[in-house]
Amino acid sequence: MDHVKGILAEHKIPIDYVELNVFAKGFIDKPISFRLDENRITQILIGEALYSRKDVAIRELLQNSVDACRLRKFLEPNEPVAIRIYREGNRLVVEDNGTGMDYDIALSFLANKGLSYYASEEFRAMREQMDFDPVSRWGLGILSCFLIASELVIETKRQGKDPCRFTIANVGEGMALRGGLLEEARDDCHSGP
Amino acid sequence: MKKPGTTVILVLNQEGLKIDADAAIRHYVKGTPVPIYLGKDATEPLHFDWTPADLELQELASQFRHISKFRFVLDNEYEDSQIWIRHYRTVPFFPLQQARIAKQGFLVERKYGPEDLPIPSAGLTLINAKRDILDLDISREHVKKDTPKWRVFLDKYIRVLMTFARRDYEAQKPTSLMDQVVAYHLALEKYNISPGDYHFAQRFRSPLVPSYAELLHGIPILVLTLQGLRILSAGEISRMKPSTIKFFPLHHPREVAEEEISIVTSRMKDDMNQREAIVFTEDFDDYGFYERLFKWVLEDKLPAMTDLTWADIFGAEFAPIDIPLDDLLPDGGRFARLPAILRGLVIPVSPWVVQTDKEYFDYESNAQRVVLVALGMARAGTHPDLKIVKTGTLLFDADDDFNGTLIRAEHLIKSSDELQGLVTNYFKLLAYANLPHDADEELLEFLVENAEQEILHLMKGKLPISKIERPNSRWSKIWEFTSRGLDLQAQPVVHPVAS
Repeated sequence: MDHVKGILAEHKIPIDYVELNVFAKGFIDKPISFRLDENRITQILIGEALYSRKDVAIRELLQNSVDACRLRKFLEPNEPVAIRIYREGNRLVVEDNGTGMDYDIALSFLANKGLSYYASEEFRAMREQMDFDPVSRWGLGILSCFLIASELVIETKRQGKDPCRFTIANVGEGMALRGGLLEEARDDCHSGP
Repeated sequence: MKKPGTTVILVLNQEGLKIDADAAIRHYVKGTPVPIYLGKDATEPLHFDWTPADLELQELASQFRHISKFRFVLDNEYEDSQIWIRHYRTVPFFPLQQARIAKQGFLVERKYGPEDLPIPSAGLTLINAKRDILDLDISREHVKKDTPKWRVFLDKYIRVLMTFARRDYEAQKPTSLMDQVVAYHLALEKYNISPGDYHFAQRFRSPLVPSYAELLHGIPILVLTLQGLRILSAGEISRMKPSTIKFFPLHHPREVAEEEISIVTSRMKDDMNQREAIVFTEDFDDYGFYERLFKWVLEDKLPAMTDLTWADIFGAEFAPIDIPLDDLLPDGGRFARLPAILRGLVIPVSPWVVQTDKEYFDYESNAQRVVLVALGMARAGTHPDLKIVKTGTLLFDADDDFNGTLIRAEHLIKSSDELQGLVTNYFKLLAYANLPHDADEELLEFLVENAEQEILHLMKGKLPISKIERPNSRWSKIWEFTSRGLDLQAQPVVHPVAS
């Protein structure tokens, strides 16, 4: 009944005009909330059933890198950009010298599945002046890495910000995300030969 | 880490250790604005050029290795800031009709066929949507086709195909009106954007994408108006505000169609009014395309639309006349003063209605069976299922030289049983030769000519010039015309036996 009163008030309908003679019959007059099983949803989004090929992770990482590089090229037109991919033992490394992320941006988009930087207000504000459309859209592609990997390490740096590192493991079992500012240096991506 | 950028390190699991990064990159990446280096120390970026040399497309081609020297040959290429299209044709011809789509350089996994978008009939089409002009599903393996973007994409894609078709059409330099129409439709057919194409008609029924609407407005139509025979577009015909549109379906082969156009034009042009249009339709018009086209173009100003029949065209000349020799004609046969253009022919003007307890789907063989039964030429017991419930009408030309000779010799013929028998068989043979049959044409010509000579010999008349070569006969020129064209208006109607 409070709910009905609320609606009436919202529409500025005087309560006197309404004969409040409503009773709940055949159902319980209580709000019902839906809950999603996060682990199961994450498993679905990792993509065993979503993708037809397991190597799709490579596509997703390359797409992210292309977007980051094109964004950097837009922001710093004279800066050469490139993507490099290689195997090192049991590791597959994809690196780019694109725009990178700072700690807050990275944390926000890694911790929130389905959130893409390219759907953010910050990016939208720039988009009208750009001559490219980002490939990334859903912010879910990174999860596909777990089709072929047990752990994911992301090191990233945005212009004028401190570098940071995140490690994601145990996806689907409570997903452990560790992150922090990076103190040790790494080899920067070669932007060409 | 001093410079901006991102490094992602995957600690590979058992599945990951099996991944071939090179193959994966080449599978997914079809073009990239950013150089991609494979290997920690690689100094040259990977080169991407989406062609049939692509590994996956080589696999596709290998499916046809049983076809000698099978290959893809680049036919057309288009690129602008939004889209990149390459059409490859199969050599030798193979009706492949496949399309692969990439979005922003990354392959969309699903293969596309003519039910999705127009694809040249013998070809492989590679499309890269360079900008965000397609919506993909979450897996990015399928293009979503129920979104506004898909319509915009199709609009653009069809516009490109129209450019290709226009270029092919102009390269042919068609001169005659008929050539222009045929060449235009062939060009559209090649790119699977012909209005006669089933998928195309279904895909764009409603609402129409703008480029297809433009294509429909601009389709050249061979039309006869008071101003004569010319090509007008549907849009131009609509501006005529016609009160009546009559459709005349043309038949194959080309010579038949040209003959039909010539006959209709010469017979009808002087009797037309200012707002009347006779539209010659292609034989692809199986789905009532032209009727739908005019309904769409003319909307609420829709005029009366009817089919133009041979009976409309020849009118009184198709009216039977009573001649004493009628009784020697096969059942349903009558003499008429046929127009000169049909000299010497036998014209079926109303159909036989036949009852049968079998279902036949092949018109040709059905018609051939009916002809044999109708003319009493079937061997006893060969078609017991066919019962003629209504006799059709066959018109024999009273003004043909030889027929005229027979008509004038009526008394002589009827005084001799042998002559009567020969003339009766001659008329049967003549009818048979003009109706759907599976006999050898040369043999029939020989039999007709031989019968004429035999009759004249008995009548002690002069041996005639062959019917086929007589100067006033249309026989040889129009043989195909009657057996494939005119008779279609009088095809047998086969009814199943009522249970």
